[in-house]
Amino acid sequence: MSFASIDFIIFFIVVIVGTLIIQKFFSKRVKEVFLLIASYFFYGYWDWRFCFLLMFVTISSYFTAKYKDKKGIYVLGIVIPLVVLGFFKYFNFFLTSFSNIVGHNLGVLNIILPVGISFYTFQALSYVIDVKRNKIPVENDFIRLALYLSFFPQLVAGPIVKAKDFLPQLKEERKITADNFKYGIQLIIFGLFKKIVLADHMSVFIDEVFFAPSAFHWTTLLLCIVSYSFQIYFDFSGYSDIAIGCAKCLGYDFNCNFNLPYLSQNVTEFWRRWHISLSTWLKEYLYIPLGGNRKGKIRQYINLFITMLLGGLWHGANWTFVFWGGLNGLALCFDKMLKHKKSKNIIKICFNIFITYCFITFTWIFFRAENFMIAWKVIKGIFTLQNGIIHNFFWSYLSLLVMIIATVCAIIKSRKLKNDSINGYYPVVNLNNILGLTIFLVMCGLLLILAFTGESPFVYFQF
Amino acid sequence: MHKNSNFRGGGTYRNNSYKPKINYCFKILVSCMLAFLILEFISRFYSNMPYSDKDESSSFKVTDYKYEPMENYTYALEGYGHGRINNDGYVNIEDYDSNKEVNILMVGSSQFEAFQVDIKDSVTAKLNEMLENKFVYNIGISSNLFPKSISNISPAISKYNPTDYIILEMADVKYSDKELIDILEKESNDKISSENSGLLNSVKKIIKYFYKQSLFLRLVRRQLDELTSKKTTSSKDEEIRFNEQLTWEILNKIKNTVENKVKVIIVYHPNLSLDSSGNLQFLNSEKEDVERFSKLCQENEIYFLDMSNRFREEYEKNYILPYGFNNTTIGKGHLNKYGHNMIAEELYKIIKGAE
Repeated sequence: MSFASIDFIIFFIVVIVGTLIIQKFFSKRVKEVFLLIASYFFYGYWDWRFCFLLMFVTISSYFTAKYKDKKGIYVLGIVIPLVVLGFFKYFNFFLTSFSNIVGHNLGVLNIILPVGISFYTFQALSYVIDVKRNKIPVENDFIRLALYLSFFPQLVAGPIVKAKDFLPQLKEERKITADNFKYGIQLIIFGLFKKIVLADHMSVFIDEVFFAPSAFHWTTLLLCIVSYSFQIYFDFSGYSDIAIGCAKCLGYDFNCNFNLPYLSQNVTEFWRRWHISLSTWLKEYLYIPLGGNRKGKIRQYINLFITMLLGGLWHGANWTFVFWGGLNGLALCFDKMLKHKKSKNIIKICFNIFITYCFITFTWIFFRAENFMIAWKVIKGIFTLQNGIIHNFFWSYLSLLVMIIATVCAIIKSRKLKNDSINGYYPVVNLNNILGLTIFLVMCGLLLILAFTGESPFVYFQF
Repeated sequence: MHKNSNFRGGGTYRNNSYKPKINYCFKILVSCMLAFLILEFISRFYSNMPYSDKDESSSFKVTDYKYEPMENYTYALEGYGHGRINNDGYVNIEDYDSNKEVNILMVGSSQFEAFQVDIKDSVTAKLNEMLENKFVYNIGISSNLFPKSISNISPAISKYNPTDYIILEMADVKYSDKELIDILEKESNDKISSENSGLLNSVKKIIKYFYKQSLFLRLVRRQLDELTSKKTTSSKDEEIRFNEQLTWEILNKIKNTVENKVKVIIVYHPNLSLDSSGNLQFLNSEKEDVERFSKLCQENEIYFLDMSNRFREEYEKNYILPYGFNNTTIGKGHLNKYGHNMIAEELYKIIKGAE
């Protein structure tokens, strides 16, 4: 079930009420079991067969981490999640690519891609590696480990919660409290607003343009790719907000996953602000093991490039994602060569932000396009000043307005707190006073009347 | 409840532990009222839809419902438009005057009603501008699709008594056999669903009044209807096809109803989409079916205005699509101001040509 569905609202209410009853009358263990069952129910709601795969990954991580000192078993702990991910997500992709190279159709296997497989396999890997690195102790409690890997708020589309961040929370006495709930419910509502009001409405326009790019005027194509940069931000950061909010309601804390990424002054900074949980995962478990910056400049560039290339592939089994990752990898290498110094000149800052935004938005074309031909049509249409349908999509401008207001608020708040760098924040209001309550209720009402009622799954579900 | 409180015979609480809770409930209540007022205010700009009620005042049904007369409305759900419902409960710039002769009567669905379009950009308004000596009157209203229009054609003619033309509109020549048989067998179909049906009939008068006044609640209801209608539409499995025999009978029924008093024009405005190469594709009806329908119209002395060519021409020359708005799917939904204008121009050519 998707977060943006009535089914989920009912499910979440049941989980909250159930947890409240359990924490009042039963032990912590009962609560853990209840949350584990709820999480498996949530996952099985898509397809009950997926639960077996999740359980298999959990069992393999549990046992391989226990015997981490035996090299063969440790390697198995790394290989099993990778094989599961590789088979379900990439087998057909590589088979088709190989078929194209040899010029012989080898066919494809009928494999259903389990929802969220990229996320929980990465979490399983992080657990086994962290245990091996002695960052966290082995988790002897199978229920806790299973709950960490399947905890429903982050199960299907992240954020990628690391074992060292979440397992200790499970050992603590975390409860549903009024304060947690008031904070969490606001994150859920704001996240839903980003997703079902802004991102979903924009998907209507973007889907049409990317379906037939040659039909549109170059200004519309330009507006479309700018809109896509908003859509993917609102969609994914909205999902992260809902996930963080759901966990908060239940008393658990997830780290912030986005921090005003489009205010980045270079691509390196962008990747510190965008999908932070993935960026840090790639850094800790791929870039650093590859050698990081410890083996000279050239090797560092190669490591960066490989990390981003694989990061691109992680997003989807398509060469367009690999290309997108490659472009970002090249940009990161370029950044490292330039060795940016922080500028205090406002014009230079604005220029850097603009250039970075333009580059990132350009790379989104490959991220969104189903194939290189469509991406090429979009780029060609813009640069040849193509004639066609002019469509000034209202929701794009509204989203821009929301983005500007939110950014200005963030800048003002950062200045007040005398922070050097601008930090995004969750616009949480005080629900103990009438003003805060009114703002919150107005947001709920706007969500009801402005929500997009068509079908539009979360962009990151496919990953 | 009273376990922890010191409840005395006098009926007063000595312990004030309930006070913060009561305080908080009061705050929630005040906030709810304030939020509701703010949302009502926003709704006035976003969707101040005209309120519809049953056409019980009329002894014969012209349409199954009409709007509350003399009310202003604003649409921003698709595009942006505003206007005023006339004294007769329909969307017309001019009020209805029973002493004034109606020359052309427009009958149709939300497309002729100019739903989501400014009243000045509607086909009716445009035709009134173009045909200076004729009075064009519109009774098009949401949900009054082609089969429904035909069912109600007889009372419409009796009431408005058009002198020159009656213009009907359709987006598809294919219907289920059941729909067509219903038209032939009944004088008027069952009530169509509109904002007044279902919930309103089953709730008490005061709630009905409150609902009528609250644009916010009506918008929420609309959103819920949209969600539920998607589920019901997908489960509907009646076969939709072009039935030549039944279609001929229906067109013949129209011919007999008007009895050569007025000419009938059927405007066919097909839905469309773009293919991946950017070419225009017409949806719903096959070209052959449209041609056969056109032939049947000819046999029954009905003008058939097929907008396909005009739509295609306008797209290929000027990249203008007749449907869709700046806040919805490109080329889909209701007719936009360009679509209304194209239809008005083509109708004008036919009417002038006939003269």
